[in-house]
Amino acid sequence: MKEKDKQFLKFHSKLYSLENLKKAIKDYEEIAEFRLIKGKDYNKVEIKISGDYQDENIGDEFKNYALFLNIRSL
Amino acid sequence: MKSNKIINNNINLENNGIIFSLNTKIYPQEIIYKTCYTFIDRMYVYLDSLKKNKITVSLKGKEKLTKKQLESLKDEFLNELLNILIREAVSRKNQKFLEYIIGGAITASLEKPEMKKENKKEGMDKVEKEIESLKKELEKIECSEDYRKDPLNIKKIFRNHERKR
Repeated sequence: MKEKDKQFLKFHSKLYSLENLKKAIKDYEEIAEFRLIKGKDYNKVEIKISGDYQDENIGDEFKNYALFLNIRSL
Repeated sequence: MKSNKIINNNINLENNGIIFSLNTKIYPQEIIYKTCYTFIDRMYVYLDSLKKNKITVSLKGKEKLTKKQLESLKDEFLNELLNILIREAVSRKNQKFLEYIIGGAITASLEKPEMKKENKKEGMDKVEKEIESLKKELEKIECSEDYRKDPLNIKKIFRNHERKR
């Protein structure tokens, strides 16, 4: 697997709730492979792009979606 | 080379984005969220908090943007932020009035039909009573003073008048 196909994203736990991150991962699980690493200040998400869906913006799209879920749950 | 790409501290042309910080004491987290919502369909928005009471906003264009465009995006974001902040403050201020007006409207819409029915019934009762009393008065007049008896002697007066003619 190329390094380019792997992305690490970090989400501040005060801005992105763990619950919404889990939901975002669940909704995106068909597109890529996700791994959630829980932390105190930050929760990290590892994305492995695989299969037919090759989009370099997947990380940004995922960040947007995670933010959207947090806004919606206000 | 890297310093050329990063034109400003907060603009990264290579990354096609702009980063800036907001004070949460001035702009509460909820207001920042709501502002992000208005931008989320046009660009990639990411939030971070590197210091206490500070939120770092990262705006990244979905298409290639120039430095000027990125700067105007930031300005637009700040304007929208202020707009939402003021709107929230005004709506919070007017909330009591709105609750009072809406509450009054709902109460009025619930009570009116019943009141109308009552009023209508009361009105009808009054009219019926008046009709009854008028009927009774008329009956009294008809019974006590029969026009055929001619108590005021109108017939006689009329006849005399005709004779004189």
